[in-house]
Amino acid sequence: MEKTGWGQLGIVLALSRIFSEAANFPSHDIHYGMQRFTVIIASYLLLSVTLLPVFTAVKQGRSDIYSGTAGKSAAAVLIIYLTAASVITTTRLQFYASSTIFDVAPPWLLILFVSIVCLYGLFKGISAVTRTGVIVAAIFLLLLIIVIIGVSKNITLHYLYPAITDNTASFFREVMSEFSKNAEIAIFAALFPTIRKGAVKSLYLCLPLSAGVMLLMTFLYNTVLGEYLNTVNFPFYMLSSLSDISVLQRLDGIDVTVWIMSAVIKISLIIIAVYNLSLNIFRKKKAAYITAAASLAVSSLSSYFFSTNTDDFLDFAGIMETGLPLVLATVPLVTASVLIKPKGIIRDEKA
Amino acid sequence: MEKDLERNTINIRSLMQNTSDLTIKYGKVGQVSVCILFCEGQINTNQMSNLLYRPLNNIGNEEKIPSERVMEMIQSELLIAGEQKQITDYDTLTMMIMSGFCVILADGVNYGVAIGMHGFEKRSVKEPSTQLNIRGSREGFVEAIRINMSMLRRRIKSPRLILKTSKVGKLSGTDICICYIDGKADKNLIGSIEEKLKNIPLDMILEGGYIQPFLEEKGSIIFSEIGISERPDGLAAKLYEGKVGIIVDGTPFALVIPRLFTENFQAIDDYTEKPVYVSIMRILRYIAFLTGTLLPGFYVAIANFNPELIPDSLLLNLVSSVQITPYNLMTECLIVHIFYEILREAGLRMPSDLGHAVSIVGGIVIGDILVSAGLVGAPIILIVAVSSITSFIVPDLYNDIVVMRFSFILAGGMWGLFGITIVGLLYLYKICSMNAYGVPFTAPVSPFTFKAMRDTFIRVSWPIMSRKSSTLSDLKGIETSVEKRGE
Repeated sequence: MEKTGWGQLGIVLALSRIFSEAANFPSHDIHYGMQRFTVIIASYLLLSVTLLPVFTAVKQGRSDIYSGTAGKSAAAVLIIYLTAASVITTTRLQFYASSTIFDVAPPWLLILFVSIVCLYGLFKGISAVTRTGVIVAAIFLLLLIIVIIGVSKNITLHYLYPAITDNTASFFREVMSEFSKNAEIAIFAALFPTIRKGAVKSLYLCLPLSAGVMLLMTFLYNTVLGEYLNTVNFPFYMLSSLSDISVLQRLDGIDVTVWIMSAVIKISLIIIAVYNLSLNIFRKKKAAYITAAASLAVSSLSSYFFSTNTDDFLDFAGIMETGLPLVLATVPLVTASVLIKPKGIIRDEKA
Repeated sequence: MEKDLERNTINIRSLMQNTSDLTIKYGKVGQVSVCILFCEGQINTNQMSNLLYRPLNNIGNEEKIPSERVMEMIQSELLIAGEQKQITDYDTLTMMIMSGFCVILADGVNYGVAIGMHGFEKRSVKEPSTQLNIRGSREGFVEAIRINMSMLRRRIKSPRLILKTSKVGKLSGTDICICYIDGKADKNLIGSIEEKLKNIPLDMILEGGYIQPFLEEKGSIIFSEIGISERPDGLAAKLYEGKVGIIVDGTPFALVIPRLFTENFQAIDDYTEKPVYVSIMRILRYIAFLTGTLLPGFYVAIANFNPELIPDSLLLNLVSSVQITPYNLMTECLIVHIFYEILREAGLRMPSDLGHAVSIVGGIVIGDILVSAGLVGAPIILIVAVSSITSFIVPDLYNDIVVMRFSFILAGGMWGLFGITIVGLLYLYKICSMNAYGVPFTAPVSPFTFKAMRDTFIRVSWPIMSRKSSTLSDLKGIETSVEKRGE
């Protein structure tokens, strides 16, 4: 099995999580005031608590966690969850791209090209995808710095006010919604056997990094966009549009490019994860068929949601955003880690 | 071989198909019939007269000497040349003759003695034509492998510099030399290269480019993990980093294995100039690479699909130029680029005197007329000029830049920024998947090695670099090293 480094996977997972923040579904009701800070912090705290079993499983260094009936069941559940998460990501990508600067591109073209690149990523392997992800993360970091410089003159601190929550009911709903957007945890659970050593460090890197960047982005949203914040669909895109660094009048083109790259990398990772999990259940040929079927399902469902029925997507996203599917997806993994006696221990990259 | 001299010469003539350049000089030494065989034009005749004919004549013919004794004197007692070797079979003998050796045979002895008397016409050592520099050595490799090896040895006077010669090409029998520094280069890397060289199925090898594809990863259609050096100092520096060099006879370009993507942005002058200046130049080279690759595609994409991203004043100029031309921007861009590539190719292949004429015709006449006739807009000429000039700043990647540029123009023209993003990702996946000999092509950026950053986007000063040397095995993600490291 091809291996990757914990640092690379950690950075790519963080990038993937930040994409979900930047490409929030436009009609989704998110309260972007001061409450947003506490929502992010609370969701990450909740995530850390619920993920402890997964951490434990990974810390044991179990390379054979997906063996046996319990392990295979865990793999199957993860495949289903990841396919559903991929549908959400692909649909978000379509909405984001078509709502920003790719309004002329037909939806089928977007899906087709994204599928081609993702399958090419599967063909090239996890190390190619994670290395590419690190480069895209570097581009995003550069973009973020330029955006901060570009909008720095517009930062108004008086938009910040002392409040933990603005609306208690929406606070809890949003915490669960943010919690549910961490499909990266499931991706990590599927891919941790491919990490050379120190697998758990990927999460130690990913979680604080993504939380930190999201808090920074929230600070920028609040202080630059102020009272207009709740009227814009994609706040970071709006920040990029406002950035004027003389050479480039607007950075939204680069912004959209970065997020499309991030989304494609996320979907590529999911496809690789699905393929790796399938290999634990089936032989190579059947695993390829399962991956192809999952990819086809993602393409068809996201095309359906995007082109015909937005309400259905909102219902589907609503179920996913309860956070229950994510929790349920990790339960069989925990069961498997308890039931299966360890045979292989991941100690170093040779394992 | 046989003991009868006449039979031997007949057999050799027959084996060499009575080739006209085979010269056989008969004579007697100590009343024993001997002959000297060599290829005309491959031998230094002055050296031969002084070092071979004169000592043989001095032995004289007055006294009869046994054949075995004559050959023993030639082989062991006379100091003729550095390279002397006993040959017992016809295949080796003919190969030696064709490689610039002269072979002495004697009647009654079933072996010959090959003596190195190479003296073929060769180009003298000159400044390299591709990798030019301001400070430092002006010496470039030449076509003769022995001279190239000597130039390398002059720069690394250490027994740790290993030069291993062998032959490749079933018909051409081309000499190649694998060179590396013992203790710096990974043994697995050397082993894999030697293995691949042994299995090259080609009959004719006339240049390093013939063997390069056999040393690269399978399916390598763009970008190469193998570098090229026309400079002995450049090759010496690469060997010090733990890489392996291959010098091929008949070409002034040595191969360096493996090459990292970031090495394309380094120049030999980077190590003689002040670090701040070098760092600025390095960053400019990266910008030039991106400009040369992406600018035309971006221009076409933005102008066609997202004109709102262009500053207003520039947009007005653009609209006015587009309105008077009959083709769309993508077609315009492709036409001018194809014209440019044709002119460049013509300038490259034509005699240098005519090359200037091509430049004038291309640059002034065609460029000016294309715009004034209204076939293409003036901005596109500027875009093509800028992207072409910037691509020359990274000469090692020129071919790749051209391929990528055309694909970005097509993607940008048909699908806008989305197309460019998708094609860009495909290239990124391709580059990031390259792992020849277990060395990631994108190292030390991804996988990231902090220590190597001192000589990647910037270069720190020599006192800092000299604190601890950095070699290939220090990079993270390397899989060839005996001591494997995690990414």
